[in-house]
Amino acid sequence: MRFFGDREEYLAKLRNVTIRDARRKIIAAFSEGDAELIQMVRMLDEIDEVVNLLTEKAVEWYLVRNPGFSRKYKSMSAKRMVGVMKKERGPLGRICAEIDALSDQRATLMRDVSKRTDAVMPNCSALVGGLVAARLMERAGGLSVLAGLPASTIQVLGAEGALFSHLRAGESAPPKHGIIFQHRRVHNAPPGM
Amino acid sequence: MKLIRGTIVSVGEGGVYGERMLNGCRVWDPHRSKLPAAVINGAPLDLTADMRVLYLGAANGTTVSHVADYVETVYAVEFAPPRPMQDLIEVARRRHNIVPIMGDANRPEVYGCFVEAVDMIYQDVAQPNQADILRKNLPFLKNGGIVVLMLKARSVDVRKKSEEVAEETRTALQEMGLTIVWTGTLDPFHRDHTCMICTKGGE
Repeated sequence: MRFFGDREEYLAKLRNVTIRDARRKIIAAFSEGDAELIQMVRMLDEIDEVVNLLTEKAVEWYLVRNPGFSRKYKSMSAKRMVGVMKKERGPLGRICAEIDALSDQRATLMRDVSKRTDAVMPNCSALVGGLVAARLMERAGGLSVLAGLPASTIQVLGAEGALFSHLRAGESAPPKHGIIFQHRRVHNAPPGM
Repeated sequence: MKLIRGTIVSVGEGGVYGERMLNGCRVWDPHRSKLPAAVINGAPLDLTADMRVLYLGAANGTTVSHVADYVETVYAVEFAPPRPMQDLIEVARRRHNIVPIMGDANRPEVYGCFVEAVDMIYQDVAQPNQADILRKNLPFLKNGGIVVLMLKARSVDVRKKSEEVAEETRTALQEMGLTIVWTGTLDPFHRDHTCMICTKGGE
């Protein structure tokens, strides 16, 4: 019995099946909840980077306009510095207002990430805190991937550069921690512990 | 392989990923794609219109689209991360001789029902067990068929030199009953890569 008229028809039907199968798997992967969390964490870190860069540039600009200021800003937090610069008249003030708004967005997004992490990975979140948990999951590439990783890998997640240069050249010391360093119990731990 | 003034091209509808066109043909850039890099480095490779190809590690379908321009059918296997697969489906929508398969090259028993006997296996996967993956997929290859293995040494073991990994893989391929007809690096186009071309059984 022949199911298909010719090879062309067979391939067309086969492609229908495999494409539908792939689409179904993609939708399933996206609907797990961790997929959006990954994107949220990446956006958060990117906004961080952008805010820092813009603030740095704005400070240089501000110093040109206020040559006497240079000492003070080093003891000032970046956030406060932006607040001061916001009051400048003209383009610098306008841009600093944008930077300020963006760092407010960042703070809101951070709370969103924590909340989402509590829902997606409640145990890990309770153990190491929402942000650290979310970053670990982001670096692993997914919740089920993270769940299957050995402890030694989780320990150095986020320190891949240091790890691979140690493995390759063997000259530098191996990294002791990656993302987990952001947890206060880790970065406040007494040396030698 | 079709060449225009020393540049490898393929004949097909352009605009897949922003590739340049040359006399109406799609330029196949050795810096972007490993297969033309191997050909430039002397790999005895020819893609012909009657070939059926099993392509492992299809990624977003850049190389796949060029291979499909040359051959009869390409079974393009790509694993999880959804983004490349979405791109691959998009490429396959325009090229009706590509069968995109979302599956793990480590588990051919899962996608085996979609694949038929092929004339060539092209493998480019960034996995530590690259030789093992090939061994598992070898039953799909016809007797006398060709294997093109793009071996990424750094995925196998970062501590070992590219040559060491190549040597180990060479032994593994021979134990599978493959005859290695050509080995070469992909320098200067892709670092730490070795291309191996083998034939299965007979001559």
